[in-house]
Amino acid sequence: MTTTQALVIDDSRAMRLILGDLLQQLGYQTSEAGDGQQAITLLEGDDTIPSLALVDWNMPVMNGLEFIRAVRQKPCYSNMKLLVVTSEAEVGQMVEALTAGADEYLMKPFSSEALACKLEMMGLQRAQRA
Amino acid sequence: MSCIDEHSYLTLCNLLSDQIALSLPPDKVYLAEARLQNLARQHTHGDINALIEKASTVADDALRTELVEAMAINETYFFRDPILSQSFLDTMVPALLEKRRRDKTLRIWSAACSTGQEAYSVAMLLDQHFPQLKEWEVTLIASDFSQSALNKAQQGCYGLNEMNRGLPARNMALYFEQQGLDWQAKPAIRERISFQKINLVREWPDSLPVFDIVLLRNVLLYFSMEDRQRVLARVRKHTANDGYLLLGSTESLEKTAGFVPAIPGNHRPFYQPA
Ligand SMILES: C[S@@+](CC[C@H](N)C(=O)[O-])C[C@H]1O[C@@H](n2cnc3c(N)ncnc32)[C@H](O)[C@@H]1O
Ligand SMILES: [Mg+2]
Repeated sequence: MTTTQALVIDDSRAMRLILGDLLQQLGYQTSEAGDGQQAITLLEGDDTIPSLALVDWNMPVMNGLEFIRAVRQKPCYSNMKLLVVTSEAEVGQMVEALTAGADEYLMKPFSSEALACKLEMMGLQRAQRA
Repeated sequence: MSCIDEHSYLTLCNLLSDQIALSLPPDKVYLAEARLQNLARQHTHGDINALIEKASTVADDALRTELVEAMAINETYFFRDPILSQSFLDTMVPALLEKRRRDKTLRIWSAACSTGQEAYSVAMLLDQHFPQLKEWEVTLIASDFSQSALNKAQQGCYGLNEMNRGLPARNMALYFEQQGLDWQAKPAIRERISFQKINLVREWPDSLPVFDIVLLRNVLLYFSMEDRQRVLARVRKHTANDGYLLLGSTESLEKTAGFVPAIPGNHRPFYQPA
């Protein structure tokens, strides 16, 4: 089984648990951060770059949009796919996220199947299947 | 929950086979029970056997229709199976742009369109990737026997779950607008699809043209062998000789069906008239 790293960024611990679980079922190894700043610290302290980050929108300190902008400025993270996972189902915000460099957008609440479907669309899921 | 007895199940199977060619296997009693519960509550005090009896005997087309629609499997989602986009982008439309460049017409049929995601996916693909088609006469017909599925398709209104399945965020932002908790396809994209009620195993409208592309996906699998062959023979007559037929990703055809694989050696689910 090949595992790939995924980073779950969400200020809700419950959400991090749920997302982490779902990703592990899809064969990912997960790490987590409670806001964008924590996520960046985590990324900078590690040599392996996750192939995927799940990014919440509303978070303290550094929100999802700010995180996406920060990460997309650094070429070393250009292969890291960014999936925005949020209950902010608003066209304006969706466009903002995509323009900032997010790859896809998933609206809460969602099914595990919907997550798998999105990952496949992002060219991710198949290789990592456990 | 009321249980379906053997006699009623047989009646139900016959009714479904007769009305829409759905061949319900003997081990799907639980499925029928789950799907008919609501209707039984509305019409026969929760008694499913009585519901089946009534729907099959009383000269009440409305109830029969409701029952049959409740039993049909409507599962679908946007951009279902990579082959949909691939075949349109890599093969079918590029070839047809060339073949039809004189009369500039393109006719596409989403037969058994369910709640419309397939047809909207096609409309979005054409819009995004083939701007030159704006000067063409593009006909996109989406049909199903189920009026309730068609109503929804025509509205183009989808909930979160449906929007999360298969639709790229970019398309959501481009082609849909929010309606409360739901999302609705914008008029510009809805207007490109014409929705029609067509039962594949009954008469087809005389006005139904010959198509360049027929999508007959994830519906034949519910039919008996004979019904499959019969429908395919009719579909063949409505497919241009240089047109295409696309099935569901797990479906394939026997040699006798009048179609051959569009990509040699690749036996499903993408075909051309033989
Ligand atoms: C599983 S859905 C497939 C939808 C879509 N083509 C796809 O592949 O996602 C099957 C659809 O076939 C329709 N159907 C079943 N029997 C039919 C018949 N005899 N004539 C027309 N439509 C039929 C059902 O109502 C249902 O919407
Ligand atoms: Mg949050």
